[in-house]
Amino acid sequence: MESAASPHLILGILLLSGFILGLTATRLGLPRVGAYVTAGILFSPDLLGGRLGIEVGEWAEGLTTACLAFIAYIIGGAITVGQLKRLGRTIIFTLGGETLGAALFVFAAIMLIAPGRVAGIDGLHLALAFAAIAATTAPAATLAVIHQYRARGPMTTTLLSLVALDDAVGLILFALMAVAVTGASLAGSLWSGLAEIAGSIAAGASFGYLLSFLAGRIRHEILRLPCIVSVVLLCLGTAEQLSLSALLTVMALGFFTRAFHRAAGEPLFAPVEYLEDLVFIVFFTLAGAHFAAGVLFAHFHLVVLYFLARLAGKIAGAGIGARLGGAPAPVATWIGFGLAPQAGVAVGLSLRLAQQPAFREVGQIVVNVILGTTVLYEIVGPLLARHALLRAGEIDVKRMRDNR
Amino acid sequence: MKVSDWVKLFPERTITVPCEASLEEALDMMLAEPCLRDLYVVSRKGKVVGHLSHRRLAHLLLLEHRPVQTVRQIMERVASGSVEELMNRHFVSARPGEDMENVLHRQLEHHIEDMAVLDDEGKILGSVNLSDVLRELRQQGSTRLNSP
Repeated sequence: MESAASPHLILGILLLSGFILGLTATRLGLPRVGAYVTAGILFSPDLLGGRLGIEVGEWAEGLTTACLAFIAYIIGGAITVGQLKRLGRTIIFTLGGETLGAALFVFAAIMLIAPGRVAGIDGLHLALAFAAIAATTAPAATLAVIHQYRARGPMTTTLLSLVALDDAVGLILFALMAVAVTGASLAGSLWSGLAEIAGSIAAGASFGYLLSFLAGRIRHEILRLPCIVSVVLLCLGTAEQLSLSALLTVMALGFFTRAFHRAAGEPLFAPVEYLEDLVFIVFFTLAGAHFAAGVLFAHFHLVVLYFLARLAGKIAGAGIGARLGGAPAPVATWIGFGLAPQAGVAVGLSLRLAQQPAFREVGQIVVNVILGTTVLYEIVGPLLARHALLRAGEIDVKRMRDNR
Repeated sequence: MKVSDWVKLFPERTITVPCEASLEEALDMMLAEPCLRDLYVVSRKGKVVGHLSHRRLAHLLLLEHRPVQTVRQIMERVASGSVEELMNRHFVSARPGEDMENVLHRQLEHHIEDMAVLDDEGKILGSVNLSDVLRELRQQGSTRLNSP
């Protein structure tokens, strides 16, 4: 086929293939993430994509950005100040330890192996990019293990809190990295960087007030989703127009909407949460379509390095944070092992990074490394989480034997 | 039929809980009235300030049994608060002077079983129970509620 296929046709093919493979994986008791990625890989340029003229071009950029904006809105609205206060010192310290630990270990590892330029980009920038993505985790895999074995206890509670919160920290780190590194910055100086962050929070708060005001006047439930979608897109567009951090602005929108609306989050977030799986299918299949065996194998050392450094950073950082926060010894020792899974947010951020002008040359490397490690973490993550919960004595051993 | 007429005909008990009540306390009050499905949260001055449905309460208390949870739900599971934090402040209610048919429309649209009837100060006068409405319509053999 000579001419490239229509973007809508490509998207339809990718989403439907992802959905069908995901459905099959669910029936077989396998993780859906791998199925979505496989669907994307099937249509990558090296496989069917090349023959069918399927090309993920610039059209995907706007889609990825909008999808990430909805995820940022959900993440921002998941947390309230009251909840953060109730979580207590142990969880806050462990959260700081595991996110910064993963980011620092990945940063140091990439700087050690590639201090110079990689594919035309400063090694420092590449290390910062991977470091920012490393902080995130995927709650689904950890939650599945906790549910399967009916785990309960202090470590289970801490683990749940961490997987819910660290994506927010990851998005903030990513936004800070973008301010520091990419052309998204207003001018590049420290003050203009701070102005960009303050501006993003102020814009998010203003749109949060607007959304809360409008939502309070909705009398017909069917108008709720259009209202939310409109304000999220307006907020995203304004942030882009004003060269603010798009993700930080939309995350602030979610946080302040919930704070102003004071309605327990359900009415203003549940409609968008229904879209979450769709968004993840978009991320995984698009990332899969970026798959290039040549790129992956040429940079396989980065896959191994990122995988090991992130895991080591999570384990060490969470352990140190938990000890400083006064966690019981078994929690401090094993908590980091439950934080390995990485999925939707990391893949979405890698796609977003690939669109940044400063990262275009290494975009494919970043997407392929994150994709490769995501699949590895999805395999290893649940096993490590189960081991950690077992060692902490929070798994019903009888149930585990029954499950075998 | 006006809502005020309905409240006289069906002086329903309504479940109300104070703002500072825990979810478990709210559940106890709801279980004590098995026919009612909506709970109204009242301030110290007796003004209704929020709503919590039976379904939402069940979701919050049974979150542990859901294999898939959003990050918001995980936070609600690990850092659950009082009913004041988890109630919906933007709830629908009825006024005594309204026509019952307008109220029923809102009730169906928002999936409310027992809609609170509030006076001008926001204090509860009674509620419109959907089952009572259906029973009354059945007895009248009509699709419209006739005035008494």
